[in-house]
Amino acid sequence: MAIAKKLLSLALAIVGLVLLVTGLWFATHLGTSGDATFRWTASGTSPVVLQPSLINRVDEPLTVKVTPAAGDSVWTGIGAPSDVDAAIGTTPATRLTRVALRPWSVLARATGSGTPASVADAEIWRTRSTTSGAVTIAVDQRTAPESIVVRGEKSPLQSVTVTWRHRTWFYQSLVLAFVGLLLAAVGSGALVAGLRSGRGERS
Amino acid sequence: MSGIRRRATLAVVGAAAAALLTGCGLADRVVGLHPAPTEQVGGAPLNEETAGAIVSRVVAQAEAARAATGSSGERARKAVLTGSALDLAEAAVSSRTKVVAPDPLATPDVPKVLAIVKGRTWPRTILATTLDAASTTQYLHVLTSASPTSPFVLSASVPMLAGASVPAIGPVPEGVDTVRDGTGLVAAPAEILTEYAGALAYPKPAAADHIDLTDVLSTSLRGSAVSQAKTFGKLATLAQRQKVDGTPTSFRLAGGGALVFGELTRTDTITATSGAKAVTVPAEVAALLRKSRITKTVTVTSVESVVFVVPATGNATVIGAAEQLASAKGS
Repeated sequence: MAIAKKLLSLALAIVGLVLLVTGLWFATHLGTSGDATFRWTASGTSPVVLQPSLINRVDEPLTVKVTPAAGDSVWTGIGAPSDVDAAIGTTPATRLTRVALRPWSVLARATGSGTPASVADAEIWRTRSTTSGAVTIAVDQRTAPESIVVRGEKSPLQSVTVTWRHRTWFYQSLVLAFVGLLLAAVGSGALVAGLRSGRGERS
Repeated sequence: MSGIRRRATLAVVGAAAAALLTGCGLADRVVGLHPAPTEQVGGAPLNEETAGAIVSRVVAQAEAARAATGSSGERARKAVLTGSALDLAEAAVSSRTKVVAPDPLATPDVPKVLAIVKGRTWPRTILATTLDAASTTQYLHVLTSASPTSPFVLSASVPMLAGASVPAIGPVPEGVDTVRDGTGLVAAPAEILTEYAGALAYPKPAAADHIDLTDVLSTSLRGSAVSQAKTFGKLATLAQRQKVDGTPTSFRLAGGGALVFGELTRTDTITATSGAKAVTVPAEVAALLRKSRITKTVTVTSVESVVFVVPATGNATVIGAAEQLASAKGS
């Protein structure tokens, strides 16, 4: 029984430590504003598709910031995912599929080959625009699921960042870290006490 | 027994620790991650606002293209028109019919989207209407997009007959079904067009069992053939026949009927009788032939675009029509 208790104490301490590190890690990335911002550094000239698996997986408003090359404009189209897939078909595109927490970034996947589709000619968009310089797109989850297509008018894009703002995420992270701290303290305390009592029994 | 318990405890603790160390969805729960919602593929593929903007653009471009001249005008027409809309526009060019260019300062007609064909596949179709403020004529427009990357183009643009109306179609967001056969109708759209073509033949019209021919257009066409033949008297004979072109575009109405857009080509053949030295032809034909009198045979071709309401029971009625003289050949 003594070994089981020690193992449980060890597990508690490890769990606490994991929660503590996770909570602190999230708090550091989110900041006090609770902004979860992920960045993708663009490459290539093909259209960039922000898929529903990236933009519609959290019930929070999302802000997408697209930065073109210096002096360039950004073409943006927002439409139904199946329409976007049909328009792009087998032509080249970079699909931003989801975010990764380790590393803290947007995951991209290159698909298709040949000449990029002239997506600007397609009339499948709920909304579309061409903006000079960086553009910020507010994604309302009420119209989900949707895909966003962006591309530089003349040159490849510079970057795409996605930001979810949820103020309580920061405090949730702190609570998580605090709970982890408590568990780690209790677990390690119990483990140390168990080890001492075991030594005392042997002596 | 204590050995078994110890091993079981070790296994549970090990599994719990491993699960927790790998996250066990902890991050997902903190941020509230869930799968993206499933796309609803029923209903109209475009919202009404987007479709309205498309109709405005296409109708404006089509008006400009119809009035454009030369090779650039031809390119413009082929870029924005198709089907009967293109045939009518090209007929106007070939018959040297003067088309008034749209006034760039005039307020464009605001379109009203009547229906969008439901489904996510292509071709896609929009049915819309505009009111020409100058002539107080209501127009029905059909726009089609052939593929995902093809912009919408105008495939039919037909003025409605005075006093005619379009029966209820249903809410635009729900989308509308296209009609391909005669299911639930007095006759299939293609049959109605064929029947109509036969009924307008002269001098031997066929019976029209499913069409009400008392509308303004049908009455006018049949009446003008008779009066023209009378004018020729014994100097010439007149024969008119209509041919159905292409496949009609049909939309299901809320009441179960269908709104059918079709295209016909009418051929008038005027043949001088052996006793006639020369026959005077109508002014618009004379303008194309560049002479007012013929001695043998002249063939006049016109393009017609017609819109029918085909009910579930009763007779189909013509609610809109456009006609354009295309060519005249002969001597």
